[in-house]
Amino acid sequence: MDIAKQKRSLTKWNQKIHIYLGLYLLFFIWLFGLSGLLLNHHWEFANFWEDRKEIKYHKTIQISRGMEQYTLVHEIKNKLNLDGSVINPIFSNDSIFLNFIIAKPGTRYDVQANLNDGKIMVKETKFNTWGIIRALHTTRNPTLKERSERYQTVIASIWSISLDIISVGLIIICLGGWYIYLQVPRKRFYLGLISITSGFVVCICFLFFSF
Amino acid sequence: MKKYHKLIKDIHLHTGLFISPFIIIFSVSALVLNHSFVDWQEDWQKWSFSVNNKVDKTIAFDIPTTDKSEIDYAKDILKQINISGEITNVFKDSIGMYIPVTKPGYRISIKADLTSGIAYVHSERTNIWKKLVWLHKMPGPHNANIRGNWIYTKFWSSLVDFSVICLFFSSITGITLWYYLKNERTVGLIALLIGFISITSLIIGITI
Repeated sequence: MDIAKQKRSLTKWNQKIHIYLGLYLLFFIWLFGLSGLLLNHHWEFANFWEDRKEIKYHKTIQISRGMEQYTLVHEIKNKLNLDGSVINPIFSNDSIFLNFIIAKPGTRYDVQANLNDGKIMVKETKFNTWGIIRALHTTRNPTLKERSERYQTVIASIWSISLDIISVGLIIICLGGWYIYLQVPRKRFYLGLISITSGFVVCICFLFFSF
Repeated sequence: MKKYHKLIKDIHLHTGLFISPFIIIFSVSALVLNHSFVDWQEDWQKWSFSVNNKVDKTIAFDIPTTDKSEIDYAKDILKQINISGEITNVFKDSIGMYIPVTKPGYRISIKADLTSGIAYVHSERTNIWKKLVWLHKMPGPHNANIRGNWIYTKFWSSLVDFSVICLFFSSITGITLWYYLKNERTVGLIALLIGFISITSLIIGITI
């Protein structure tokens, strides 16, 4: 295959990947764009904390003795039929109480378990759609420091993997876009150079120069 | 519709090119935030008071008048000791004030003695990954009442807003340009549908 043919083929496939990947990621891009704006602003219409709904209830369950924290938390979680990632499980000083949070976008359960008599107090907090959108933006894998205090659900892990796919996909779209830009006619090329340079100059200034 | 084709193409090109470095920054920092290959997480409580353990320099300042809010009081001190950056919090009592300050590449812990008028400063440099994370998370939702107190944070915030708007424009014009490409309609529609099904099923799965 000669070089010109190879180049044509590369151009064609690059354009296809740019289109298909862009279309596949379209709704993810909109979701993360919108949720990013919500996180950076405090718009009145998007209040989620003030509109939360809280209910408290008690339950009594059979709790096994002499189990490790991780197993104990999961036993309580399963018996209460609560779904979500476990955050910050802590025993009280006298080891009678075990407190932890179960959270998923839109819902949070604050659980206090009395290990002696099996009485469980649950505070359930429900958030509105704006709260869900914000939480979707910030749901991620636990860091090394958080691993001992956060147990993620399988679906939350899949969501975290999808964040990687979106990030890598967006980088590929950008690189492919730059390649497409290199093929445009000279007049559009120079105008495009102004756009790309201004974007780069701003980002480089923030990244590499301290003000 | 065809007469607008060139205009739509130009909007897609220029918005896309302008936001591409922003997208790279946000995508790379999202990967950093989602994984532990870089220790990006700050122990805010620890470093806010790190000046108690190590002092790099001491600078004298005129004690500001007390008719100001805490954030303006802290900004006044920063201006006098010639330190710039985003004030992340303010801890004040009758004799002193702790002012943790961040900016891309730096985190600075300041203790201002309000009786002697001396500021103790401890400054640390941060690596490129933490710079990226700073840019990803600023201004962010925390401490909303004081966030954006540095002019460059405000500037960055406006730029990010602008780039998100450009991203929406770029995606909408992208859909329009795809519509013109008759050969790509079927496969493109499948990609769009798979994307929609993926995000819907993930959101339903994670919230229910």
